[in-house]
Order: sequence, then C-alpha cells, then structure tokens
Amino acid sequence: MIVDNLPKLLKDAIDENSYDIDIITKHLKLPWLKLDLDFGEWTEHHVKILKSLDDWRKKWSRADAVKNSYQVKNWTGKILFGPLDFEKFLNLSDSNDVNHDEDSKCRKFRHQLAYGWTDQTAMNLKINKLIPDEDLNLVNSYILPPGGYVFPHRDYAIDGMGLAKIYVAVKWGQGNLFGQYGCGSIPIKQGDVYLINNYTLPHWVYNGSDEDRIVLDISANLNSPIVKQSIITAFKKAFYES
Amino acid sequence: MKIKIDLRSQYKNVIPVCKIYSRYSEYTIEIPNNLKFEQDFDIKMKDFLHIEFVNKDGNDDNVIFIDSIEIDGINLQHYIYEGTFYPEYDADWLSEQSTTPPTTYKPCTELRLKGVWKFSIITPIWKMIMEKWLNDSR
Repeated sequence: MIVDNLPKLLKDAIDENSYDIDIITKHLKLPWLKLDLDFGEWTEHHVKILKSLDDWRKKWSRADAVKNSYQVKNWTGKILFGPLDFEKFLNLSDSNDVNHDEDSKCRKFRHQLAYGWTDQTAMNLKINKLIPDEDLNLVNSYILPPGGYVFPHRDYAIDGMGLAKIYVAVKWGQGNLFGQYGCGSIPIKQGDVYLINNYTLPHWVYNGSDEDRIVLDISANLNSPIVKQSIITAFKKAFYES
Repeated sequence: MKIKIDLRSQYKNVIPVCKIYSRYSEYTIEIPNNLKFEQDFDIKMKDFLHIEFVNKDGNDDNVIFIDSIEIDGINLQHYIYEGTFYPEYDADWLSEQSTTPPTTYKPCTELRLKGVWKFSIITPIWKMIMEKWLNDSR
C-alpha cells in the first residue's frame, strides 16, 4: 500500500517511472535483445539486392580494406541507405575520429548531411513499413559465404551506445554463429531480428553452413515508434517473464 | 606451449644474441638477420615472456627487432606493443648524464640497448586477448 504523504521525490519516482529507451539500450550494456519486428518475407528478389560483390570496407576507405586478411575472410556487403555524398561524409567523420565504428559515425552526422537510399530498390519500401527514412542512419547488407569469418574484435562507438544494431538474419543456415565473449553465441535463426550490442564485448562471426549468410544491418533512431515498442516488448519479455 | 617469434637484427660484426625465457623455460639464440624462432615453453597460468639482449655492443650498434609473436597458435597482433623494455644503462655513462634517461620504454619492439623486454602472459591466450579488448576504455 502506498501512503499519500510520501516524500515528493519518492512519489514521483513511483508514479512516473516507465521504460526509457536510452536506459535500456545505452546504459544497461545488454549483449542482445530479440525483437519482434516483422519485415515480412525475404524473396529471392530481395536476396539478389542484398547480395553484392562490393567490399563495404573499401567504400569506407579502411586501411585494412582487403578482401582477405588473417582477420577477415570473404566478408562483403553493400550500403543501401546512408550519407549520399560519401566522400564528404568520410572527410568529416575521419577528421573527428577514425577509431569509431561506421554505425556510430552515421548516427553522429545524421543531421549535418543529406542521407538517403543509394539505389532505388524494393528494399526501401520494406524497411519504411517499419522505420521511416528520417529515423534511419545506415542500412547495410553483410554477406558471408561458407567458411567466411570475422575475427574476434570489439567496435567502439562515438556516442557511448550499447544495444544499437538492428540485425536481420535474412539467410542464416545451420552452422552460422555470432559469438559474444562471455555470453555464448546469440541464438539467431533465419528470419530473426535482433538488437545487438557490438560495443561492450569482443565478438566474432563464422559461417559454418553450406550457403551464403546474408544479414541486413540497420542503424536507426531507437525511439522510432515501432522500434521503440519492439524494444520495450523484448525487454519486458526478457526481464519480467519468469 | 609453442611460442613463435619473428626476429630481425642489424649489426656490423657482432651478431646479436638474446635470451628468451619464461618462468620455467629458457633459450639463448643468435639472430643473424631474419630468424623465425619456435620452441616449446612451459607456461604457467600467470607467466611472462622475456627477451633479453645480452651482447649489446655500443661500438657495433647492433639492434634486435621483434616483428611478431605467436603463442599457442595465436598471433598477439598489436598487443606486442604492450611489452615494456627495461634498459640496463652503464653505471659510468649514467653518472655523466645531465638528464636521467627513461627507466622503461613502451611501446618498444626495437631493442637498441642492453636490457630486457618484458611481456606478461595469462593463459588461456585467447581469453587474455578478449580481456584486453573488454577492458579497453577507448
């Protein structure tokens, strides 16, 4: 029973405490949450759009932008949504810092530069059903063929984020893994959508299946209404249900 | 546990010699130009890898370069820069200096003085590397 004459601070805290996306995603440092976002069916047409021989690290002018090194084997991908004047974006972001990851750089400069879809494809319609353009920062595909891997590493964010990456397992055959140090592997299955924290723990990926692994990586405003509701639902499912 | 070290040297006449040792294993080798050193070491859970430049010759100006280190099949990558070099200055020379030279050098993979390069090891190695990332406050 709550009495009426409680100190105001305690009363306000009791009455007004609710779910705060910044607390859940940034401060808790949770390794992952499974979201209930439903992007619908991934057709062969979508897969064709996502599959690409582009090496996204070359586009980002990374010093280690070679297709295969001892740290990365056969990892490719394509930027579908992001800064439109990419050279200008790189100059701006690299002049500030070169050690932070691409998602967080796109978040940082979202309102300073023009962002948009790099190709007019069916992909924008699919994503925009849940997340409008104004809430998108970066949409990437990640392609990893059988035997491909990314070495254990940790990413660093400009903005101190934890959970940040909306990770859609478009094609995820058995034998794929995404390991998070000290937490086992994220229990991803084909079609799943996870919110992943790639900033707190060292992590690695490996495709031990016999088909290409295709992931859609979405960096978005996590307070975007549908995303926000999905995060709250996932949080409650993880911490309220026994 | 297997330890592989890629070493290089530079000298005129005095081939650099180093002693490579952990708590319970020790090897002494000459480094004529490029050398791929590979030996089994008895490594404890908390141990160390020391590389001691034993025959530094000031007149010859011989030098040892540590290019890469692999322990238990795992390349330490850039973590070799966490090794610290502890020089042993000649006492007479030191007493003549107006400014005291550094007592340690880090990062340091070029041994240009007599002294010992020290690197701490915690096994298993894969976890040691994960913990370094985990505790990186960047």
